[in-house]
Amino acid sequence: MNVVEKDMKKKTPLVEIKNLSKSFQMGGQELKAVNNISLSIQSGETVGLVGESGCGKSTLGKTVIRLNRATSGEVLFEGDNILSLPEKSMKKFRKDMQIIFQDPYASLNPRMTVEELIGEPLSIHRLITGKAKKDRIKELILQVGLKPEHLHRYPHEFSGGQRQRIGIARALALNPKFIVCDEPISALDVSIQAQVVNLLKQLQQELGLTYLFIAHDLSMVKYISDRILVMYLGNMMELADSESLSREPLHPYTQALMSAVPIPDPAIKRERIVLEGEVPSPLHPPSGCVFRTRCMHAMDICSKQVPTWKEVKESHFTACHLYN
Amino acid sequence: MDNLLEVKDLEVSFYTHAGEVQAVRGVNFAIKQGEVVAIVGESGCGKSVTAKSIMKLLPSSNSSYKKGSILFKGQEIIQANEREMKKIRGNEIGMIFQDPMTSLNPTSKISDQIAEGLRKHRNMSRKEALNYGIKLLEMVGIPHAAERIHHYPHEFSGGMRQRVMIAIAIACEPELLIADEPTTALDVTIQAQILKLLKQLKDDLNTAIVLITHDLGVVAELCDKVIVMYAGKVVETGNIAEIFRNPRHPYTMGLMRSIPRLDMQRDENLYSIVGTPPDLLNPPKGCAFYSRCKYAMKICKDFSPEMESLEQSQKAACWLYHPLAKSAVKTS
Repeated sequence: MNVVEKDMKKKTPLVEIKNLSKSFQMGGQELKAVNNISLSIQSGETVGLVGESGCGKSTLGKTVIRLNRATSGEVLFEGDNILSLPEKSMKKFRKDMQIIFQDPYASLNPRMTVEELIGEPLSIHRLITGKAKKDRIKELILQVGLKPEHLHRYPHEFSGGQRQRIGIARALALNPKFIVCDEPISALDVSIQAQVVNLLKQLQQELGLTYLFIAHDLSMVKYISDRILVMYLGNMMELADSESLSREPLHPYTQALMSAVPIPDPAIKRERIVLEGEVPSPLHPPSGCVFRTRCMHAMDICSKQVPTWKEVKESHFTACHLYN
Repeated sequence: MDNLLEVKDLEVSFYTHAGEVQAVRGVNFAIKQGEVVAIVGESGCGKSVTAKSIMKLLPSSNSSYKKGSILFKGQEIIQANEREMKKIRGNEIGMIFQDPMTSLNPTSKISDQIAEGLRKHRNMSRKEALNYGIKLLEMVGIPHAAERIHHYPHEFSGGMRQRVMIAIAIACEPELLIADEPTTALDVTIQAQILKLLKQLKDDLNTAIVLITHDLGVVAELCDKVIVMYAGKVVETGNIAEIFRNPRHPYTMGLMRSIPRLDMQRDENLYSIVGTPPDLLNPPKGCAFYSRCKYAMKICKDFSPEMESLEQSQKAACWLYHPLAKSAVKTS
């Protein structure tokens, strides 16, 4: 996509997340898994979502496509707030937004053949039947790089990478516009990861898909994403295009995260920032800035005041008192 | 210097309903005192089976050592009986497993689990073992160790549990530590902490470490030597500079190229190795990588290549490097 096209589409984001929060009740206590997230995703864009386990990235992904009920906030899909819709009218939006899950072993029904698995969304939405449906399934299986003879097999007959391809075919069945990829490659071997990432990129180009790509592998996220959002304990830490985020991470957490990724090159020796301690319990998040307990730059103000979300450089946002 | 551990022609098979799975099909390597060696490869390549066979931890009901020998300080492990193994396990060889949740005993306190080895191998009293256990927990960086030692595994987070496992594994100061994917289940910032800890162990105690992983970044960070396995065989070995700078086996080359580099352009496609590894129920007659290799020749299909020496310590099992092969690969 060239620059002009991109600029034109900028006016109407495909997905607009506004002040989205999701809390869970745990034994009478409130666990804020996702706290006040705002993000616009343009059509055709890939936004990477990174953070450590328990930072709320998967919860955010599921809440955006309404697999979770949000506690507050809005999600506008092509301008319509899908969170306020009754479940019945939601169905037409469900076609447009799909999800690919992390575990290709757990997310496919072991009792269904590949044909049934890929055909299921088509039946649920009563889109096509009979020969047209069979043809569509065949088209899909070829699109994800499997063969028509695979259609009559069961998930256990496939390897992890192949299963993830089946998951992708299922997600593509309804011609969605927006796909949440929830750690789609984390469970796969290195040589297979590249195959799946290449497939996702190729499909994006062919079908004009928009991705929210959730992962904890920063190098892969950097490679696939246009922009990256970094989360910590349910909060937004930093948002920037993937180039400037990796070239010049602003938030101390992003800096630590970047430096923690081992570089596959023995010639590069560097001082790495090793964060002390662990992520605090989200049941009792620290006051002020949630990252302050592990931050090497923590100041007095960090425990008293929540840092504001600020555009520090052009299209490069962060929430940190260092930049106030 | 003598080798601490020597694995020769090791072959291990599992017997399943479907038939014999030849998980390890002839593995050779040696490790010296204080050396950190990585075994890399994809799931099912036999790296964990190799590690477990060194400790004799494979289920005897459905697996067997078909061939080969494992010499630890000159002692043959394969012939050793259970009593002799008990003297070695946890004492001279320590092991860290991938999943700290399932490899600690959930029903007993950390204090008992650390003390077990110390009391057995070091003849410590209950009290001595407890005090030494606290010291060990402090050493691996667990805060409030004196209090935490009385807790159960579920009261620790994943990273802390992995530290507890390391503390148990190094309690008797083993000469060899086998770490099977010690950081795979952990977040990157916690992984960085554990890697730092392992490095420190190697420096302070001169422990030799066998690190099993599929993360090449971790390998580059920590190891001296690399053993690349594919479909139950070693396909390439060498020191890390050789392997990372100039991988010679087509599989290693593919692995190296399929990790995204920082300087990569986004419109560039990631290199990927087509296809999937062979089924070890029916391993191929020739080179196991044949069906995925872009340099494959006729001979590769039917005859398995031998290890050829290339650089100082680098070796690869590939017909391309047979002395009589025309040099087909131009490596950069």
